[in-house]
Amino acid sequence: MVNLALENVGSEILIALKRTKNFDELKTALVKKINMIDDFRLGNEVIIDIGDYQLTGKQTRDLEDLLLDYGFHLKEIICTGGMMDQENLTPADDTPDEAFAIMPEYENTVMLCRHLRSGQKVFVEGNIVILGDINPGAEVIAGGNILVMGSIKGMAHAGAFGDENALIAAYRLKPTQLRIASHITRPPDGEVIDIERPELARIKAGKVVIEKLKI
Amino acid sequence: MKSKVLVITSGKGGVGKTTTTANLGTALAMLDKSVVMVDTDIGLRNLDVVLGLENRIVFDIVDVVNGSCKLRQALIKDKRIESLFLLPAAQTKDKNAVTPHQMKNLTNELRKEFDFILVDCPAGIEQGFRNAIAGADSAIVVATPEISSVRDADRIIGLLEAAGLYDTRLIVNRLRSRMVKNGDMLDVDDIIDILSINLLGVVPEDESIVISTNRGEPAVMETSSKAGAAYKKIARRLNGEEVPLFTLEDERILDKFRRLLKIAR
Amino acid sequence: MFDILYKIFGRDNSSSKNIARERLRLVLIHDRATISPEVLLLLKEDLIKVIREYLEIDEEALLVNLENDNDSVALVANIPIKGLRRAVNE
Repeated sequence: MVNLALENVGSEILIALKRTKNFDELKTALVKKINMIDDFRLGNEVIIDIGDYQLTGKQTRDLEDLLLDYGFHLKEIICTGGMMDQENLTPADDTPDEAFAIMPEYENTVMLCRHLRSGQKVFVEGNIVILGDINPGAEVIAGGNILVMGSIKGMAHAGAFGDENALIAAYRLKPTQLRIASHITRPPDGEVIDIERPELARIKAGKVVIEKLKI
Repeated sequence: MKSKVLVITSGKGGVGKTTTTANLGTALAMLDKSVVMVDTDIGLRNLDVVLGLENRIVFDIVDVVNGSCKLRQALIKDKRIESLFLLPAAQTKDKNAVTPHQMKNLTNELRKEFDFILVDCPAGIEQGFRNAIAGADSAIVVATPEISSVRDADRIIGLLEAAGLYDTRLIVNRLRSRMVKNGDMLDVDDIIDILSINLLGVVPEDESIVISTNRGEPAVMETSSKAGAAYKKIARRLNGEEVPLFTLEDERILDKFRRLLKIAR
Repeated sequence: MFDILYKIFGRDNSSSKNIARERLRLVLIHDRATISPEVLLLLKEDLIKVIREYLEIDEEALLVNLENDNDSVALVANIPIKGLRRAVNE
């Protein structure tokens, strides 16, 4: 399966070619992607995300040539799969970007478009996306990741089967309690600090940490 | 000291059962007693929020009776007082998840560890009520000076007697002395006369209760709270001390002083 | 005129507290007069036991109820009779 994500990063074009098995498949996928790019973006720089795949120096030059044939310049090749061997690559800093890279992938994602109120409990085996709030007293438990386009004010438990890479992301993260795999955290006692921005919770060095959500 | 299991009940909702449980539990713990408060309002838990312990809950009473966890694991230690514990209710489970028999076993288990076991009863007279009273030695009925509340208290007292609990005592909550003085509110004597049970204490209406609930800190921890002082007195009574009851006379004497001061000015 | 005087002195019998007390008394008389369904069932069984010695009755259709009527409470039993037992002197 070839993941065909295509994103604009400023004037640069990010092409994600994750989970390709061999170089030929990667090239075919790249050509397919390039054909999808609007003509007016010709001449722009391209960043290719090859996931787990590792390129030899020759293969890198091949890709560069291929892009030039279509009128694009290769800016860099990144491997969000963890194995990276490119000299012109920005070092992977400790940001959620990396968290997303190691984020487990689950087959089933459930989408829920309502508020969860006190006493309500939702359990899914895979991921859950909630367009609404999790109110105090409500519980969301997922085997995979939890994404809330709203506020988490109740309890959210991601990676319920023990997956420590599971993430909890919310537009506003003000939970009574967060759990990831077997880790349990709660906000500190004392004054309430209102953070008015999206945040992400994950396990880092054996602890649940909360970070600004950067995408 | 033999441990006591006290159920705090009222029949009617909103008369201050949970506030009373939280304050009496805290006040007894402040008297160096070991205290556990048990929230039996499964599906509508509140005691945890009143005590400011809501974010510490991992296991609850249903987990304990199901054997999903050990009793010790479910007990939440208060953040301010060493000897105070909470056994929270479940919020997302069925209210019939606990039986009176299980509840009795649970309170017997708690007796081994604590001097006082305060059981916060849900409103109503259904399964939740029957669970709450199952393991109790005696009951405390909370009523406000309103017809509806006193009527429900009477019904509850009858049900408690039918269940073999005869030593029921009354707390009159949210008494407004000014209204009583003007003849616009049932006074304590009226209520005692109608219900014919022993009075345990009177708690005046006090706005500071709202503030302490907002903060998640029981009013007894606030030295200036009138209601907090009344709960402290009740706790001392429960602990076997002789403490005079709060009466309107106290207020009247204060009023006289105030008036004298005004004249003097 | 007197009304106004009463209101000024504020110690008349119609103060809302007294109204409340009287209403409560009446309500409780009625509440306390009700018998729980279990007790009513036991009463019904005992009634059947006694009556069966004298009359042949339809036990299934027997109805026993408490009825409230303003200030009084009555025990009302509806007992269909199938037949009279022949008095036998032994």
